[in-house]
Amino acid sequence: MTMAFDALSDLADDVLLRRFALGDAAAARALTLRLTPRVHAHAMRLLGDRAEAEDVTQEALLRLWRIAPDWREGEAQVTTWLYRVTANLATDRLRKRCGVALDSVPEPEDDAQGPADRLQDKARAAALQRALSALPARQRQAVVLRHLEGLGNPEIAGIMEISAEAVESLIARGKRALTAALSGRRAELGYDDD
Amino acid sequence: MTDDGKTPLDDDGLERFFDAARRDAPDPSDALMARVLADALAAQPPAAPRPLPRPGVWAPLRAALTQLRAALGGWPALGGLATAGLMGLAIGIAAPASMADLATALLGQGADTYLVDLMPELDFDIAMDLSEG
Repeated sequence: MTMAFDALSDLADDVLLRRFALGDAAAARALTLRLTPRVHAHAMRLLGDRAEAEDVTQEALLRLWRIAPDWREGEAQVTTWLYRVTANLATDRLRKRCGVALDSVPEPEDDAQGPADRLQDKARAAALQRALSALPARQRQAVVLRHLEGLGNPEIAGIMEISAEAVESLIARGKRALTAALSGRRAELGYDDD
Repeated sequence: MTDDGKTPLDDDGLERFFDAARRDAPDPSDALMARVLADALAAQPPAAPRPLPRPGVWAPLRAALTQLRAALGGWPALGGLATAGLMGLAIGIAAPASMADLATALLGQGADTYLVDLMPELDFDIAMDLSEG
């Protein structure tokens, strides 16, 4: 999407949110550009479904816009709050599904066009997504926050509202399950050629 | 190779799946970006307007003070007037002895003041002798 140059890109999220609450339309655009991709990627990894991820993204950000006038700077990071709200919304969706149907997760697209390495990335990412979708929700959330969003354990503990030790345990169990699920696909996905 | 024919995956191998997923991060569609921005602008409070002065019981007094200020020459003149007033008050309260010294210094301790009647026909006499106190 083409938007005006983000002249506010150096400002912290909470500063932008305060400007947003004062009616600054440029702050609204800057926050949309900055936060939507992160929330959407997180929702997509938790849900494995594009349509549901888009709904969750829109809802999570709508809640942020509504809470903006009451946001107290310095109490919590905007992204921490958003990750938590996104995960809660995703969990609600997963409960309604009564478990993830693995068939709903797309298979790697073998016949897609493009550079070979991009194709391989897509195949590996899709395989990982299928394995992630088979994990218990809390393990999936912890592994995604740590290894795909790149957050540290203290911040993950804040998002999930558990101790750092519990985060470590969830990640360890999640990675063991992922390793077991993906071992059989190593040769198929070209790792023997790396 | 394991008993079931699978190649075991170590931490390094799992990390390469994570690398691929990070490079292949799902991008939001243009339609989603537009919806989110529309939500933001719709939910955004209007920019706070500058408050307008409201007429009330003090309005006539404020108008009179404004006119007085303008007649005296604006805030700089009022500032000078206030400073002069305060200085006068301070001198009057705190420094009568200094003022006597100042008068002595200006006129001289032994100086006499003589009455010169330039218009004696008017019969109007004022005499003052500072040397006599």
